[in-house]
Amino acid sequence: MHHFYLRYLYKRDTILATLSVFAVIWMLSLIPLNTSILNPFKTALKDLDFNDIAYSVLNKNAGTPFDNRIIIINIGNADRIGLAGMIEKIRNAKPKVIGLDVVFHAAQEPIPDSLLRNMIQTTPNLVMASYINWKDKNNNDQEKENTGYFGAVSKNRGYANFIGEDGGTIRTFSPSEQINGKKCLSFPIAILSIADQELVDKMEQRKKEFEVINYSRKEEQYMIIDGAALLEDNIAPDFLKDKIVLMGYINPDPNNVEDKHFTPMNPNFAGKSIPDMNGIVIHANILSMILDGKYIGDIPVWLFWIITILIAWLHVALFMRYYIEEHIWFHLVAKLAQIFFAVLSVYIGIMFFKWFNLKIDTKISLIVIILAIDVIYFYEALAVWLHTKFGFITTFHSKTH
Amino acid sequence: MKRIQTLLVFLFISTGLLAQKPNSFLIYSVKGTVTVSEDDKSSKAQIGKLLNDRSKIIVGQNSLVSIICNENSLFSVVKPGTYNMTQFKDSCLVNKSSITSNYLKFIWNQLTTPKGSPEKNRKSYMNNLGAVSRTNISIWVDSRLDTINYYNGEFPISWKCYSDVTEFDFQLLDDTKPVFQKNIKGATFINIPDFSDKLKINQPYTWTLKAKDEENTETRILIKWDKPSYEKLVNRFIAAKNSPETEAEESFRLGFLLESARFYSEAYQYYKKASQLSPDMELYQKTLDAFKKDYHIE
Repeated sequence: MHHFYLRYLYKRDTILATLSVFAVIWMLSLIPLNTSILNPFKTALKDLDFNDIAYSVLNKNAGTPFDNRIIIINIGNADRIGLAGMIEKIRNAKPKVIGLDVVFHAAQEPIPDSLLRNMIQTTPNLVMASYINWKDKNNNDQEKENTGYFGAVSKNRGYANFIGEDGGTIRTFSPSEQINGKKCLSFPIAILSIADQELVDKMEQRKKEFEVINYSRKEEQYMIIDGAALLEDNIAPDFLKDKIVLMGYINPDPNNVEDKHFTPMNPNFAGKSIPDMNGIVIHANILSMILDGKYIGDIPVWLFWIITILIAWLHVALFMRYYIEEHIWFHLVAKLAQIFFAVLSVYIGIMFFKWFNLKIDTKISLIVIILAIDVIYFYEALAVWLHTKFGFITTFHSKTH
Repeated sequence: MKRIQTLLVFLFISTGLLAQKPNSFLIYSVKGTVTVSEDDKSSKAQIGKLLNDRSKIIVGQNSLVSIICNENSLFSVVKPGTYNMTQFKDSCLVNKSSITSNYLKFIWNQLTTPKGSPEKNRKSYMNNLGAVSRTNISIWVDSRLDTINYYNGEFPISWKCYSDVTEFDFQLLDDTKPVFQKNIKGATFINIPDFSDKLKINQPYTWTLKAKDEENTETRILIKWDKPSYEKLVNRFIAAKNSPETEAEESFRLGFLLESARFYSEAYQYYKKASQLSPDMELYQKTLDAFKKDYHIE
């Protein structure tokens, strides 16, 4: 083995070629133009996370039981009078907290508005959804929380924004944001701050600007009650007691995409598809994650780069060996190694995600290995030139093709 | 060499023939009286009929015909008159940018799109709202104003607003092109004479309203009628009487019929006239008061 492979590990050329790979990556990152369009590989990977396979293909959370701590009320197309009626019924059932995941943009007719306003004002454990309007993302003074038409009368609010590309997959959320010096909570965190402040404190100790959502349940793994059934008193009196009740819009029709988003639970983890999860179910998943304390962690940046450099080093050593000693096999071995590592690294990433809720981004190491072959060609030319000009000692000088 | 010359001549002729390819028109929809004239033979315009450059169409009063040219562009004719189809060749033109120009624009846009990822700059990626939105329009417009026929006179387009907004944007559009815009502060109406000079006769316009920070209301239609057509309509209403009537009765009846035909400005004049001619008639006064209240006439 030593003869075959490891002896190339400590060669100066191997180490320099490995460093060149990262130098090239660094130089590419300095180009001010967004060159991703010229790179189909990068374009294809833009909204792809290999960890999504854990959900969509490997059924990471198959068999997760119903979360009976959270009840979702489907408000359907209820008007403001209907919503006021639902809130009244829910609050009479004494839940821990009620979250109304609706943004009311404007006034309507006076009587329904007045009814709903009164209901919001007199329900102290009701959390209303708002949204952050990032008018100018680089100018913090322009930031503001849009509280909607009933914002002035609602004591508890949380912004319902998720983090993700426009129309892209929702994988993360921001627990809180500072807006004009004021701390604003996200919708699920505002709900939890009423239901269980201790859990919010624990989460804040993690000091994360954003959290990866650990999706544990699909829509059908939550108790979803139709708003009409609630209004008709078809719910057992104690069913909602001490529960977290979320009021939101759910439409089981897959072709209805109102308030639906792409999530890693989507059966198609890459390529064109239709959004799969309503916003209220994503909020429910965030709540379940915090209630269970099952956060997604990530490895420290320094450790990530050490692992990536190690992977690159091992591959460059292997490539150098074949490049110099058995060039006829070089391309075949390189391609096989790339395929083998791609499959292995994705597998390791998924397993870490599944077993330890630890997220490892394997895309960078894949890019490094793909680049390594081209960099070896470049490094060879450079090393030979340095040898001719300055007497630089290199393995390439005498042995290569 | 001769073969090449023959080929070039053939290509030249073919290109010339293709360039002169006649337009083909398909009647897509018809309302009112529309006649087609081909080879001196007239027939009623029917949906699905194919016309060529030599065909003519005759559009009657209050009629509309929509035509698709070369399976590509749709246009409508509402103005009464006789038209040769060659007149519409401009409507057959489709604005096609070259593939090269579109590709270069796309590449440039992509290259100049700022780099970033949701994890590195979350604020730029927080535009996904996980909540359902309900109503971003606090303006209410009487459904009777969905279509307004207008000939002349004073009449306000009015609305109600349930929010505290006091500033509105009124927009009059010709197809999708704005022809008149006005920012209205502290009022919930706009008088039609304020912009009637921008209206072309017998051409349907759409109008829409927008309160600050809200979405536009649904578009509604406004048509300015020409004098002969309007007078013809009024004369038809006058002639439709079943029994002798006083001038006040006739005015009241005309007011009612014109209001039903959505000539609100003109109906108002007749209701007013009826009330002035018979001030003791309670029905006339009450109707006038209700009309003024409904349409917010001061």
